[in-house]
Amino acid sequence: MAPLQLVPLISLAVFGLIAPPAGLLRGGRMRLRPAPYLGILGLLIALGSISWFILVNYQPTALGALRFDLFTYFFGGILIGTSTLVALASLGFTKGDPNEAPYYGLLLLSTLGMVILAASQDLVLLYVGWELMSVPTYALTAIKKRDVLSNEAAMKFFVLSAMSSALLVYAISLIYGMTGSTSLVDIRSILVNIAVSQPGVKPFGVIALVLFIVGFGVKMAVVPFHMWIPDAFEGAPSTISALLASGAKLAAFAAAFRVFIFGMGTFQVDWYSTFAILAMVTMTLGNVAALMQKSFTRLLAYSSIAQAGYLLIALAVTTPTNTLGLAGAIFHSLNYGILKTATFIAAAAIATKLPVTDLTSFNGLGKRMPQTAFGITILFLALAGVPPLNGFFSKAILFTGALNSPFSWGPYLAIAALLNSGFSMGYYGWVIKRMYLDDPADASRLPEPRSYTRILWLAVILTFAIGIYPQPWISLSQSAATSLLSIVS
Amino acid sequence: MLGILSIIVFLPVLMAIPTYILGKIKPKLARIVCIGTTTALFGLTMLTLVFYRYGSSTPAFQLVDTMPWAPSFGLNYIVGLDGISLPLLIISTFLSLLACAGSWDLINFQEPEYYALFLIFETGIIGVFSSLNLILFYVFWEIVLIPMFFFIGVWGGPRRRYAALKFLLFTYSASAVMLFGFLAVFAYTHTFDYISVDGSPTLMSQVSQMPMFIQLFASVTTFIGFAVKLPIVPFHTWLPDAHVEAPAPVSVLLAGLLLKMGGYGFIRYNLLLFSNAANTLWPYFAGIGLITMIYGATVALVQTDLKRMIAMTSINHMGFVLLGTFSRDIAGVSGAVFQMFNHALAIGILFLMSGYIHEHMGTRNINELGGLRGRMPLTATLLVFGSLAAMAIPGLSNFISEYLVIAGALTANPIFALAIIAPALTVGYFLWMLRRVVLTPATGPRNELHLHSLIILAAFLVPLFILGAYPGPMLDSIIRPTILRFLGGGP
Repeated sequence: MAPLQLVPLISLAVFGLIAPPAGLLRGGRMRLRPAPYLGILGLLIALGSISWFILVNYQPTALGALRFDLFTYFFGGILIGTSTLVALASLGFTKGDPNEAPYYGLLLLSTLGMVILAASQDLVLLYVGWELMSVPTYALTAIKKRDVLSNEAAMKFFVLSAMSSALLVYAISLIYGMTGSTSLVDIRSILVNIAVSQPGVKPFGVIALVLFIVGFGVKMAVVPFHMWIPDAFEGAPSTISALLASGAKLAAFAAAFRVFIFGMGTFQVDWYSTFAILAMVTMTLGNVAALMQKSFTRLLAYSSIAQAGYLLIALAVTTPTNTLGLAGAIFHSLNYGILKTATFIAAAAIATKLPVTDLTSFNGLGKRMPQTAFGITILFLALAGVPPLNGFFSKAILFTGALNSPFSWGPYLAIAALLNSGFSMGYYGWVIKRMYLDDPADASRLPEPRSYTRILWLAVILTFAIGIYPQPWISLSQSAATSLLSIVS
Repeated sequence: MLGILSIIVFLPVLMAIPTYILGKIKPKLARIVCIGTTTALFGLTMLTLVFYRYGSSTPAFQLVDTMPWAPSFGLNYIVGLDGISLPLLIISTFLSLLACAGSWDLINFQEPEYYALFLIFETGIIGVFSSLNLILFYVFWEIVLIPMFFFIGVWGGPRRRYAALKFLLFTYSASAVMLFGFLAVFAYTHTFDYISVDGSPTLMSQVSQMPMFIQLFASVTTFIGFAVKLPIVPFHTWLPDAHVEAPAPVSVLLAGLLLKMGGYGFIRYNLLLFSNAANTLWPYFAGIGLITMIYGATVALVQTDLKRMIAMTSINHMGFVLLGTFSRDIAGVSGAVFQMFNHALAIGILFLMSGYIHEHMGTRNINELGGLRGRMPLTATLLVFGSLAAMAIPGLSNFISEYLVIAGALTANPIFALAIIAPALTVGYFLWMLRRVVLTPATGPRNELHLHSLIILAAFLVPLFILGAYPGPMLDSIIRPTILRFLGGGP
């Protein structure tokens, strides 16, 4: 009997593969749309089984190269959850699109890749997950075949992403050459004293680290590997931008947490300060650039770069004795996943009626599309870190992790992050000001598609619920952080 | 256990939802629900005066409610009252009631949203004054911000968008700096609780064991957060814009309550919690207070807009709070707390009156108003009394608090005798304003305010007169025992 732990993965794979052929059933007089609902069913089964493993039947287990610990389950839940939001929101967008069935199939397969990425404790499997996540997203970005911008976005994304994959393979081969293993558990134990036993290989380890940083960095939206993000997010359909901004990015973070904090955590090289600098640069550049944007999707893209900067803090400050930062980052991943997915979905809702590439069309949106505007307001306040919304608590824990770190630059990193957080209100507040305080050129009320507003309300409720009672999520992320650092047989 | 204080904190925000929904059905219902809620809250606050135990042998914090909230990150829900927060709680609910009543005439569109935000604001402000956990405090602190942004931005004057965004950016950035101080404290003490819930060490005892530079650092960062709210001089530029653009009832809330958050923070955190740091930093803080007072008074002197003049007065008066707090003298600190109470009332009547006058006369320009004595005799009388309160004339309680602050400051250092310049200037510009506005010949027909407006305005003055004649209950029974407990025999 196949182990139960595989149920989420199998569900994603099976429903991802049957959704495209099921799409052939549509048409005729029966206005049947089996593909989207099969896709959503697959996601819900996966999400339900993961919740069941966390709440009822939690047992850390390792199945070969896959590792099912709380970290996997928690991140898996976040990734599948964001994909579910994307799938639900896409219901209206894909209606009548000939590529509807493949759209959902690709979405599920990409999600499968993300979950494998979070679960793998072997570098080869990690690479498989990476490609499984990436390849469907290229096609999804270009799903509007006749749209030049969409194709351009897909092309840019594809070239950079393929390069990052190549770098990852190279890094993996270097690590294999050093340690003779691709298993992260073995790598961790071999790297402990490799600097002493084989001093000559240390430079190769450093090169591998750099390649890993660049490879993951492209997907994680780390400055200076962020160039593709604004273009790709602007060109892709907004729902797919949501997937790229939340799911794909968080999966890359999950893999980076596994590889750096667990796998290479024992390697005696100071990569912590590298991440600290990257974190500072990323959050500052993201926020400054976001302030100057005239296009809403580009603003969201830069804000997601800034948020990546906050998450990078965890890589900079997490040591076996200080897991608070990692716990904060895991919690922030959950909140970020909800918030970012929902803001892109809000952008999609607006894009049905107004050009989202122009911020002036947001003037007076509070009267024209009240639900969407209210949703964006709450989500933006949460992204900026206004309590008692969820983003505040995860950021506070993350920044306290930086303050708690054994490194002397910890407090500086924390103050940089807090100042950035205060600064980010400049553009979040600016959009809110446009929506509620500025007068529109045309004050007519616009229809708001139900498929989008439903998701927005769901996200708003989650934002409040997690923010008002954060305790279960905080303790869960703390356990997830400790489970990442423990060895499971 | 949740008791009366938690009800006071959360009743407004819970009532915000029915207010909005009923207001959508009929705008008038929103007003009625809001006035009903604020009245009930004021009644409940009076009830706390019954439950509160007076004297020196009582626990430091009373009516304490605790509940675990997110204990794995040191977050506990703790609210409680002492002699510093009780006067501010009373003034919060009283001023909210009057401001809500004052909104009846002055807010005429989007009422459901206005009154719902009003109640959210009230929860925030009460929460700030009663929370005893740093993060809980921060949560309420930020809750206040968002309604105020919309108040100014939606219901404000011609330059409201600029003023609202400026307000948001100033105060939000300052809060981020303040939060850093709180998180730094947590990194060393592993608790955010001001008082102990389960017998674990309290923040008070742990903070003094932190390395000195962290104490100084935490004190300075939190000071910046509070100072922007107060506001002190280099950070005050958001205030005149916000005040001038905000509708009058909102100005009452802004000057009467929101600025007090800064003063309360100084006393609760910079003076009492980071007391070691205060021993080093007090001359700078008190000096900033002195500069703020004199600067505010000087700038007020040259204003021609009545509302802008009152806004500058409030910078001047809040400087008293800062100076009194960091005199670290029993009289000075008691005076600072009492000054916050009195200033809220004095500035409340002036702002609301300026709103009514603007509504009736069509202008707020001091040079154009002229002849109020003939045109609005009762209003003019109230304006004179409000101005007397702001000038701190003996007989009104403002005199007592300003006297205590200056006396305390003189104990700390004779150089603070300079503080006397500020009240002198205040008397000067108020008398000049009264001469131009009230005592000039009437130029138009009689145009008196409605009776209910006059009653609302007069209500501000009642406590000022009562406490001016007999400040004992407030000063000796409520404020002084707490200050004595915290400061001991004096610095």
